[in-house]
Amino acid sequence: MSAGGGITLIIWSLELLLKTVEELNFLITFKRELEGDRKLKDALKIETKDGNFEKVDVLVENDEGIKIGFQKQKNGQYRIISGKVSDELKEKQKKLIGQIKQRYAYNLVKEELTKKGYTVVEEKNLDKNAIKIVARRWR
Amino acid sequence: MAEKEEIEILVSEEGEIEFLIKGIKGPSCHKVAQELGKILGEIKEIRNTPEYYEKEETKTKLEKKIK
Repeated sequence: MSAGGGITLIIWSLELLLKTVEELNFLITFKRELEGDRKLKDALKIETKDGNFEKVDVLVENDEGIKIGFQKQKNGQYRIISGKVSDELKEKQKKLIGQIKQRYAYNLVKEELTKKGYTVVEEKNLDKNAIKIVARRWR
Repeated sequence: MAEKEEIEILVSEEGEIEFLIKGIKGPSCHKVAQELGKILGEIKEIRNTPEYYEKEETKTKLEKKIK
């Protein structure tokens, strides 16, 4: 082994984000760019914990009414915005955000490493719901 | 002979990513780490494992010997 480290995930790909939330079976997923109706575009807002409303590009909601918004920034990154929830649901919301980020990272790793000539040789669910992926290539 | 390169990635429940690159010698390993960082987001840190230095040291010794 030669080196290891940590990476902070950044969400860039709208396509992959939508694929990810679809795989996770969230009940409602709205995407502003897809909606032709201007009124609908404007309606895509999320109420934050401070009671303010922020426009988002993607809004996901689960069957418990937990909302998570994704807002595209000027640099192309998507900022995650947590919707207002009751205290009891805060931990669940945090878990849902983690779930989306984890699945997005998993999809991204598989997609991009395959493009670079790697083959995924191992996929495992570990303790504490972590995912392990091992990719290999010969040079 | 072809050499095996392996990347091990752990994604936590919170979406935190840890990686381990195996089989790539010296600084080339950092290049792969940087590429990985670009794909996934932003590199927080890169830690060299003892083998990183071992291989570099071996190479240096060899280079010295050749010189």
